[in-house]
Amino acid sequence: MPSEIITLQLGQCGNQIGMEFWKQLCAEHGISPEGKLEPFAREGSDRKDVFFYQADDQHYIPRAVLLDLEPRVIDGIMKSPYKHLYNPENVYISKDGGGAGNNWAQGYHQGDKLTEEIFDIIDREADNGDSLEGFVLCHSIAGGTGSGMGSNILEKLNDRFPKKLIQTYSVFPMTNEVADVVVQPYNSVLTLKRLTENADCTVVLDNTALNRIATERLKKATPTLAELNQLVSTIMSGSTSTLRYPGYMNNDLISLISSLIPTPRLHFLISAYTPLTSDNTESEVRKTTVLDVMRRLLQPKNAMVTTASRDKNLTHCYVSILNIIQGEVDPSEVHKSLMRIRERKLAEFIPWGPASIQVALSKKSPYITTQHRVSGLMLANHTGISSLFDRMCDHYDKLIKREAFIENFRRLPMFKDNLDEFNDSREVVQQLMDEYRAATRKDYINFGNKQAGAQGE
Amino acid sequence: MALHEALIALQTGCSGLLTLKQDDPHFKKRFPTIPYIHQGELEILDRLTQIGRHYRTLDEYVQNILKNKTSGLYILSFAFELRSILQSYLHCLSQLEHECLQNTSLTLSHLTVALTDYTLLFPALVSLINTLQSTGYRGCQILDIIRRSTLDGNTILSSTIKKLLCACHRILIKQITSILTQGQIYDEYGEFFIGLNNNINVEAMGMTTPSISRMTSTVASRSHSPDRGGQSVLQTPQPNSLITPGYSQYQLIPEMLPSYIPLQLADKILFIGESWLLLKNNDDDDNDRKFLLLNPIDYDEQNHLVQQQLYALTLSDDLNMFELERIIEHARIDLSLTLRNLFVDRFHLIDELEQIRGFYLIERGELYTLFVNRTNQLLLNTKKSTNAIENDINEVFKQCLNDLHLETILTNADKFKFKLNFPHSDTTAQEISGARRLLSRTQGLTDNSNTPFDFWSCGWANLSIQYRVKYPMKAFFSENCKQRYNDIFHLLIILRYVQNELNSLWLAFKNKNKNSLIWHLRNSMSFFIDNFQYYIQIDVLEYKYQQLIRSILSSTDFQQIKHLHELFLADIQTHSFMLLSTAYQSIKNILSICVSFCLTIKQQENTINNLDENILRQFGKEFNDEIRLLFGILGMVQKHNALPHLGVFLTRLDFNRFLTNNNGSFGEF
Repeated sequence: MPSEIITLQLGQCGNQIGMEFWKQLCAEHGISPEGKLEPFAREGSDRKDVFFYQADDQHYIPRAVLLDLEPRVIDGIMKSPYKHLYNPENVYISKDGGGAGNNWAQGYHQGDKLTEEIFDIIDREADNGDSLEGFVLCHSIAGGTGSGMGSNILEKLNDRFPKKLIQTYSVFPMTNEVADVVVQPYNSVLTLKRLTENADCTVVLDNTALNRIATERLKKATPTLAELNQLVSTIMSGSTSTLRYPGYMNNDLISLISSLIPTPRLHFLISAYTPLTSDNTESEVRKTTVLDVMRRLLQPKNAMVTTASRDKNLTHCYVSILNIIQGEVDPSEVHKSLMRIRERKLAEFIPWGPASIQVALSKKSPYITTQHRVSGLMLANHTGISSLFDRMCDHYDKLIKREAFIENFRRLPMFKDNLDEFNDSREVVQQLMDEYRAATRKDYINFGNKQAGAQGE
Repeated sequence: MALHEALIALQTGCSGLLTLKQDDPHFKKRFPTIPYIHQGELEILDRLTQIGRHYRTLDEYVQNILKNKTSGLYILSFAFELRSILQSYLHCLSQLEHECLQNTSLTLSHLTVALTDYTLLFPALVSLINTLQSTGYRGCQILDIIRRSTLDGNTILSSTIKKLLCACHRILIKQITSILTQGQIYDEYGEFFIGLNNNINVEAMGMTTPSISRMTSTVASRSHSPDRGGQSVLQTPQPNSLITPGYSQYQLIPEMLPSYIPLQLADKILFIGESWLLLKNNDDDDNDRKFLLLNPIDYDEQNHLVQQQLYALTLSDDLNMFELERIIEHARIDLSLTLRNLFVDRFHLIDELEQIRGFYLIERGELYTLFVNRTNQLLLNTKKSTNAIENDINEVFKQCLNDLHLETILTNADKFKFKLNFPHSDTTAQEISGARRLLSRTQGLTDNSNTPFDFWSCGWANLSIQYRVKYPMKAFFSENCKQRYNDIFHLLIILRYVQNELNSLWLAFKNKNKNSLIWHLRNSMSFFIDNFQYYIQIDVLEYKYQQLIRSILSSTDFQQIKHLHELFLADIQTHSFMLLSTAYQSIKNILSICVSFCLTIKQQENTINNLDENILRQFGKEFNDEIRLLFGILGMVQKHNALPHLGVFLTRLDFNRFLTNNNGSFGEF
């Protein structure tokens, strides 16, 4: 059972999207909420073993670790029909149960204390497969547990498993209105440092964009949390579909990631999915063609991240694009679509190297009926993502200038003596934004060298 | 007196008036004058004697043939027909004799007039048998010669020779009937233009592979066949009169094929014969015994009809080629449909193709990803083939299948075995040189004591799959096909290996982001490999494969299906540039540069910061040079619009027009 992937779900948000993700996977592979293979799914050519393993009685158990510092969400999962799906040993709720209080430092600190117990679970799970390919971590970077404990775990994962891939699905908070957590800019910037330095690939899910898409696409005035989480799980399951329904290519995580990420820091990906439908809206069935799907995927309004196409005198561009097209597709359609997109200049690419829209064709789950012939997922590396970081830093800068709400952080060991960690994180994020901006220019190829030279001196 | 002499001379070729030297062919030496016979009469007598002489020659020839049974059916039949002509001549003579006895006043001129036809006919026949004897032609070969003689303005001459030809055609039609209705060759003397293929290297049946090359070779050999063809056929007499091979195959013997039978027609007959072999063999297998019930054609009735129609052909003097072609085409269509149904419905041809796609064409990517991961080092370090290593590889592969739970999907794993075919030294020396150059340099610079490594002599570059085709499928998958599949596999597996190496480099360096030159170079290489792989596997292979399956399902003609399959393979090879040697060489160079790059960097992994930047730049330069070369070549090809799919590849490589804007280079390294 090679190239297994272990999913780590952290905090309230992480567990909620994780829950949706497993629901989706179970449905796609014909696995019942109890982990039993449905009778109609006995003869599949899909690969279940990347994300599941089989217990002695043959029922499927997700390779998932559920972690939280407060019991509410996990308790909810344990009351759902899926309560028997997970390995109970992999569900860990901090004993004091008090949560992290939306405080990154609290989450980080608790994570530190619980390291041994958490890594007992992770190590056991890692030894369970015979060649672990990597970890997928889902969390939000705004709260306390997902961001703080997530940061802590990222650092240690990278340390313990230097050759394993670490991919995160990170929910970024709303930036365009009053935040429900006042210190979220702090939490975000502190987490972003870890995402930059310790993760290999981060799929950015911007809550602002998710809300916008849910409102526009699904025609909902106020989308519920469940609907937003479903969007995320659609992205997660879509981006892993080539691993689960193998075809000629892109059968391991590394091949997906390595084609998208040219240099290690530029690993923040935006995503898009089309066509979107929700459970309770019977969407008007329209004709889906490959061109149609690929064109929609490139439209900024469909991207799960709100990015600016221009800022500060530079035009943002795609570093790389991977489209995963699901459904019955004639390969020649793909080519025609590519030609059309190229003619119409629908995508602007980097000027410093070759780049194109990579396409991966993937089968659809035979157990889920959709009204659409073709659906598509885009994972893209776009320099415009720096504008998201930029907005976050704006909020952060305003807060840190006044040292607002900083007392909660000072109470914890990391910030007892000074606020260096804040400055350090802000610096890392700045460098990241600089690198993304540099990637829009022709001389990016020398960017790394200059950095290296500067550090050498 | 003279009349009597003349009659004797007409039968024996000599008369009491003539003295002949035994060894002198010119029998004009007679007494210059005979007192009581007029000079003119003597002349007439001479002419008559010559007819007699010709008769003798012909008669001796016929007697010889009839006595000596080894000359073959065609010549025998020819001789029989000739004998009946001679008999009619004798009959004519006896009538004349009768007349002479009744009417003694008849003159020699009367005889001459009565025998005018023969004065024309016999010399032609004599020259015909002389040609036959001198060329040593036999069987179907004589048909051409006889036919040439029928093309004469004299109707008597041409109609008589047509009769001879017709006699020979009767044999031909019988042989054709035998093969058409039973798939047997009735050919004791090796005279038919279809014979057993004794070659162990069995070609697939029917329309043979590169039909064009086969045709040209046929034509070529036909043109200089006279001695060689005749001899080689003579040397292989067939031991049995009725040949029903177990499962061997028929082949066309081009030098035996009469020029007026089109090659396509001969091929059709060949195909029908082989189809019968297949069906009969199949009949012996109990489990498939009932296949005949499956299809709507009543073969006995069908055969009866064919027999009748063919027999009707022999009744007319001229062989009606159009009719023959019609009959054969009709039979072919019926059989071809049966075979198509047999192969598609009963032998599950599509499933077999699926299996082949799984093994040769790497359809299950995850299987080969795992396989490459597990045998990575083993095959890299393998320099020569041993049973132990091959066993290891096959074991690993089996394990991979097992681990991925693919046994239920790729069920025919036992038919596919990995083989390592290392070429004997020197054959690949030239293509290797590039890689060797690179590596020896890097090794020299980093004083590594390893012997220079060259990629094209390691296991990865010499891995192939042996596909044991079971009995009925043999008719579909020829050796040639298997070779082509292996050629394609060769490229695909190397691509996958290189991709795997580049990816593992990504993993190894993900936490060491210092030297960005490595990253950019890796990225460019990866970009090329990924796109090339996508192009081959999806744009070409998958596209063509889907086309093939669709047309197999919609076709009703087995021969056509086979042909489509051949086309499918040829198409893939063309589109993956295997037949475009300069481009292919360039691609191979790119692949080996990528491998060298990965191996060099990996060796230095721990001291990577000290790695001489010049080495990297050198790699970059060589890589760029090859890319530029390839891009240039492909650009030229594209201009001529020679490969319809090439545009797809170029669009991918040059999507953001980086190559175009940078003169075909992937960046400055």
